[in-house]
Amino acid sequence: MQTLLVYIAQSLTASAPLCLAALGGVLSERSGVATISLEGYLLGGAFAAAAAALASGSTLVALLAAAALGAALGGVFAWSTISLRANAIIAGVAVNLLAAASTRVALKVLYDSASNSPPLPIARASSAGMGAAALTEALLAPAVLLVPLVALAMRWVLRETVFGLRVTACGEHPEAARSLGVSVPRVRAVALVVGGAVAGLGGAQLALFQHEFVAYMSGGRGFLALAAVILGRWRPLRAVGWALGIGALQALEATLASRPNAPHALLQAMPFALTLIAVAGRWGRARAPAALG
Amino acid sequence: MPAVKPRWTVAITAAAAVLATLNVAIWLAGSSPREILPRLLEGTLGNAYGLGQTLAKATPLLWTGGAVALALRARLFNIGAEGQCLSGALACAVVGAALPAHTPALLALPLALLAAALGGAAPGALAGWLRGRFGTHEVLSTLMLNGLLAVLTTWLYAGPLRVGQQVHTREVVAGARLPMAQGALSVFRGSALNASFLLGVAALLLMAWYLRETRGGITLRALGASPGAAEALGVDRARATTRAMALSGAMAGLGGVHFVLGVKGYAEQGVGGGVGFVGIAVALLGGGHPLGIVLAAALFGMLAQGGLVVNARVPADVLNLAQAATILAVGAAAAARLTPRRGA
Repeated sequence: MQTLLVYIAQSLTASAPLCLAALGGVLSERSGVATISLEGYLLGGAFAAAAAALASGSTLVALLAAAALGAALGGVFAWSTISLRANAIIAGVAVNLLAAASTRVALKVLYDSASNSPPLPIARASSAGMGAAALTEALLAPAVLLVPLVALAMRWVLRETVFGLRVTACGEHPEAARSLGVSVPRVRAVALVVGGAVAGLGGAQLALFQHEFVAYMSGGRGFLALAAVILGRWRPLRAVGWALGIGALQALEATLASRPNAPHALLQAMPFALTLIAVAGRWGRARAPAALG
Repeated sequence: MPAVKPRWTVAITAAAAVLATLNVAIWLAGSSPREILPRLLEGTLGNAYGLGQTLAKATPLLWTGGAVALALRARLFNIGAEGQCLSGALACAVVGAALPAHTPALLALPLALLAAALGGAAPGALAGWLRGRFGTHEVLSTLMLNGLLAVLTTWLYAGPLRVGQQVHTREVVAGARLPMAQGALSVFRGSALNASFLLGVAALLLMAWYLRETRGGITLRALGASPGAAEALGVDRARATTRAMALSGAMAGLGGVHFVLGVKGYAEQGVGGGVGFVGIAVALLGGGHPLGIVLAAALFGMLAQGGLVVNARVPADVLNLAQAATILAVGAAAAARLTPRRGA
């Protein structure tokens, strides 16, 4: 029972970055731009959160900084794909490399380290928390609290607001949107920048939970989040559901890590393998935004 | 479909992006570009050792750049060259070490090269098959395979395949080793340049010939130019997709040869990493032309080596920033001639 509660806690902790990145991905992709740059947003968000926490000691400032850097990277992505009309996949690769290289340069310049930041000056929850205590702790992590809020807000925006309907129109039929007087580039730019900010918040969870920034700490989570977007058919709540599932797979490794003979490699490989199988299995029935490219 | 040629606009944009980013980044890192840039040129092109190192850094990029370019001709986005290079290096190291100790080079080398090609082709073919059979977009499947292969190789090199205290695989047999440039030309003493550079250039020429002259190559290009028309002419789209991705994966897998059969003689954690994504930039900048790819690979090799040259003064990753900026610039300049399939 204790182990189960700890496992649930670790699943939530592991899922939060995936959920937020997936929500950012839903907004971006619904506007018709394929977004593999989620990986870069997570990494950038993690670094910004760590640097801001080190400078200010405040979790709130860390979250705001993560969202800001995510938005900035989303802005670079938007500028490249919309203004310069670069291919979205290539621009996404570039943004990911940009995030990887610039966080490493900043690590060196700010903290004179090639691999990680100093530990964050934020109250560390007692790591010995067992059972219910661990679960409470996980649930109270700011990024975990944000997931349901952002998911419901995203759903409301996409379904009920003029902006949300315009985003969907730009993704499904940009010509029609244009003929109705909607500025497709502007709507997409806003979607990409806000999407970057939301995904950047996911990165904050990575750094805040680990109490430091580590180079390349996103570790492919952005790509897994993109898979969750696709598996969730570009809908916020479903994408979050898939992200929770993938996070639960990732948490298996953390939960079983202390046991002797735990098959670490197998457990680490599982999220990627099972996600690939899930995507292959469901793709035939998925329906992507028509103008996604 | 006209042959895709390197365009001067693309090259000039790239050069401007590299220079601008370098200047700003070096300045931000607290150094003077006027001091750093001459060192960078001197250390990468100014002497035989530096040139050798630049070409050595360019070698895996010839292969991964070629791999991405090949898939692009079929309008497939192989962003899995990263993982395919890892699995190529793994297969090559395992086969190269498993051969009897005195296997003659005439037999050992082709077998090890074949292993690298097959090691890379396997994940490529899987992604192609998934695309043809289930419609799974190759971008997503290759990204998942990248993650999977990174985990797998890390585990194998640290665990089952390690030799004693060293965290690397057993050395490949002497017959499977590629000649080093320093053996032939003493001016390259100490540099990692080896025969896989020449093999890479040859492979790019072979690839150009394959695309232009052979039935398979023409099918592949038809698939890229007009999938519907290709199908109407009797091309099995699923099979052609699988084959294109397998060939692309084989090229990427051979990128691992530079490390395993050339520089190191074994595989270890990180061998073959980081060259797949840069391969995308090389393919774009090179415009799918063999000479273009060689020049683009040399440029990125220069950035990689340049990072090490100036590392004492500015962080090496400043040069990786320049790489990212180049991809952004080239991606924009090449936008007009790149129209990938719709639907992610």
